[in-house]
Amino acid sequence: MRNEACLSDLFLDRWRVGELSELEMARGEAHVRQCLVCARRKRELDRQALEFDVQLRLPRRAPRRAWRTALGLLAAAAAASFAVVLVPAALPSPTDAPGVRTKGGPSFSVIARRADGTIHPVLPGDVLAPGDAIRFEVRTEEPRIVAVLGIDAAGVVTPYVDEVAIEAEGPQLLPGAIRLDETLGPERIVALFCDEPLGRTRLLAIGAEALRQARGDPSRELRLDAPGCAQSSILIRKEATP
Amino acid sequence: MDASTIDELYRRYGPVVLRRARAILGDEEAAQDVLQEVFVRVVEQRGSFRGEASPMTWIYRITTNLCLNRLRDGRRRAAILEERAKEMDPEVGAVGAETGGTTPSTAEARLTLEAILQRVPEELWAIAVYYHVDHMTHAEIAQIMGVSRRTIGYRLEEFRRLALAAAAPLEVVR
Repeated sequence: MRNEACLSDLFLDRWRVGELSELEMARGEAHVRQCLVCARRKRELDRQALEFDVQLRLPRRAPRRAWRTALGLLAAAAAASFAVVLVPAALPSPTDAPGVRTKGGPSFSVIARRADGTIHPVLPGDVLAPGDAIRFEVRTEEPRIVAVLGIDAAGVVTPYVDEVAIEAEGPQLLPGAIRLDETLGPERIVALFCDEPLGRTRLLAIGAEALRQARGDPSRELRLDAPGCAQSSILIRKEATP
Repeated sequence: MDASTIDELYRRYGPVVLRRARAILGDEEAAQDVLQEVFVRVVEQRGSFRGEASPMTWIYRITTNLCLNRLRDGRRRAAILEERAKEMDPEVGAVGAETGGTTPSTAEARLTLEAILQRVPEELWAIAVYYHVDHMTHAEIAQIMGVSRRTIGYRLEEFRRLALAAAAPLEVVR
């Protein structure tokens, strides 16, 4: 049942496209944590936006690159089926200023392959399980250096994708796949879009510092202090039996 | 505004426009038309769109206006058809008067948002949509419509009263 404090569709839509201020976003996050109705509505709207994007992309989508198994965890034969359903979703970047961001506004999406072989786009708050495989797709309007970090509930910062150069040529699947480890709880996956490489050591330090400032909780608002870099993140939750 | 910018805006705001147009109009084809019309406006009025503190709010407002314009056009068309029907068969006119010019085929259809809107004053339509479709707060509606929260409260109460009055007799027609 909705109540007076519930979030409107306008609020949730503005949240999805990154128009909310930090204060508004904090209010929204606090509310959806304790309101099942709004949490469900938020997921529903996110899902609809994703479906809209799918409808736009599928007919004209070029064949995907193969699913390369950086960790040797996925068979090449499975790549073809993956290519059919791969769907990226633009996520609001927490560091972007409110308003329309088009030029240079990157998007970041996570795609998961579950133990049963199903593949699906990951939305914020989705529950994944240890052993699930994830990989990443990005889109930028300008050439960028992209890195992806995983920051988990055990306080570990893991470079999921070392810095790779991305050209501005539409959605691009990043190389490699990651199999999620046994650490349960929230995990924030952060993509950094930089003009210059920062180096692995500095990336790890920046991630660790951001986690420290979030008091060790990756589910809190977490920002990487990386000047000159845009960033986008998605929070997932790892549970033993999703 | 280049093609890639339009593409990005379409992906970002398109799902919102389509969802709301479907909810307000209850018609897929009309909703798709509104989707296209909204983005024509975005291109035409790109200056004001970019200048908005909240482009999403601008999109909401434009979508609502275009949808409600369609409902108004539908109401006018229904009135014209009713007038012509009266000329041909006076009894048809009597039925039209009873149902406010709409002739839905089922009791459920009579209670759709569109059906209710058609039976209340047009100045209440936008407020009703924002409140009942988008679940917006009084403050949000006041902001998007540029009126006071107190006014929103009064008008919503008026809408509730009229909608109940409009819907109640329809339920016993069956």
